[in-house]
Amino acid sequence: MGDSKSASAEQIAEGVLEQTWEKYWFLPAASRSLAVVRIVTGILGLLLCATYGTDLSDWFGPQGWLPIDSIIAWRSSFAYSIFDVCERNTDLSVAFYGLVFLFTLLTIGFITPVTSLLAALGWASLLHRGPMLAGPADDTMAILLWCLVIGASGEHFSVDAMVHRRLGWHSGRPRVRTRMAVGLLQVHAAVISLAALLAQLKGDVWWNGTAVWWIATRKPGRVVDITGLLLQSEYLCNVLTHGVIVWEAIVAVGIWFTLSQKMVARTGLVVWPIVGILTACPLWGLAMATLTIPLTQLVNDA
Amino acid sequence: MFSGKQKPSGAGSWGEMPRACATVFLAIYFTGLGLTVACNTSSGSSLLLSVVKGKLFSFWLVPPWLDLGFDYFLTYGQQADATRYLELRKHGEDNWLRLSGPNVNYQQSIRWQRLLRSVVSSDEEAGRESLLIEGFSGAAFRLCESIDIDLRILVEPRPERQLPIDTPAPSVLYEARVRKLAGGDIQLITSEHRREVAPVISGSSGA
Repeated sequence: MGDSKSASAEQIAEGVLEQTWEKYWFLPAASRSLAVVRIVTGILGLLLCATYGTDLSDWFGPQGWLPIDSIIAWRSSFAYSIFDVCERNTDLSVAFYGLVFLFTLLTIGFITPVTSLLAALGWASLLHRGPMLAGPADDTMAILLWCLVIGASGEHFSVDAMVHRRLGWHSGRPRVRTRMAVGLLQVHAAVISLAALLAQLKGDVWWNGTAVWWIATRKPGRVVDITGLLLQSEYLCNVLTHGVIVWEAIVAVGIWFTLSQKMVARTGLVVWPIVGILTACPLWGLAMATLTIPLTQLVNDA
Repeated sequence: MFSGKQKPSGAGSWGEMPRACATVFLAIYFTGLGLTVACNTSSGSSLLLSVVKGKLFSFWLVPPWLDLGFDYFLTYGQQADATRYLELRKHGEDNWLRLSGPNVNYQQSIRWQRLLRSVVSSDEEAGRESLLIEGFSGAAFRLCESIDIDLRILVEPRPERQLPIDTPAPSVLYEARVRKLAGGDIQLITSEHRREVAPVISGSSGA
């Protein structure tokens, strides 16, 4: 009797787990919110490209600080970059502005399945050309791009959608791959928040509430100088430091529960950019906010 | 696993086989994600995890830039993440040429900081010692118009949170003389009094 009860409980648990997994990954989803992610990612890509543009030949050119031989010896043997074969400044510029063009096409949604794939490959290529130059925003950008490759992000708010409408093609129906892309965005938002949280908690300054002060006194990367404000109140410095930690913990956990998911994601649209500014990584803040756009339910996916 | 009644169905749904394949792929990817996070932290990782990740996951996670640890500590309030500057001069001259000051644009300076951090930290990494400095040499020789230069990385200690703000003077974190020898080899002399036995870091007899 007891055995049959525990066996049926196991079956129920298995069924619930299976249904949850099926619903989470394989329930077809509409792609309007993913289209918004595509537009923001495209713009973010252009901004990040702009941060390379002025120094491209200084870093990667034939007379640059990071010659290809040193980089190949430095990076993983599995890494490859299309920029490796650019031996002249002209080649480098062509490859780079090709990537910029791809981000532009991605933003407007032109032949999106192809442009998203090429943009993801191009972005990885650029980062592999100078791995030591990459930071949190660059990493998060790579995640965003690969999720766009998986999902159908070009079926709304895009040139593709306009062309399809004109040709009378039916597009924009719910798709499993869109659901998977949104799921992966959610997983990565939680993983990145958790990993950053754990990394920060290894340092005393995140416990004693002074981390934001140390970041604010570092001039490179600083968007606004808040040292004056922080000097006026130690409590403010503590609140901001602990606030970053608490926010990352909230995101890592809160986006998994139906009750809190929407609120956390919507709050993130405001809080992540603020965290980015406080931590001197504004583009990382924007990228993190972008990861959870589909969870905000601000875009009507019905 | 996919034999139950309540499955996603209707337009756009996947059949059992694609769902099974996707499930396997997701399980493999999440294992890789866990390993990349575990193996890319500043704390280091166990030999076991490194080998498993290196053999089974790196070859397909590295090329798309997905071998990431997300180890974004942002600051530990130590010298390791303070502002750095790169300075060069012709060997023997007095005036230093500062290349990565805080007055350049926002992202340029932040990428310079990452680069200089890598130069210093890689000096203690097996297999990566002097690699970046060797790379720097070409551009540095050109800028100084000399094949015998001094190069140093300074760190600007950050002020304590008190008024008046007292910013300590920058201190030298790394200093070396870099010169091109006859035959094109690059020699790195980190300790001037031992220059006769300083390593040749590139060229026919270099590392």
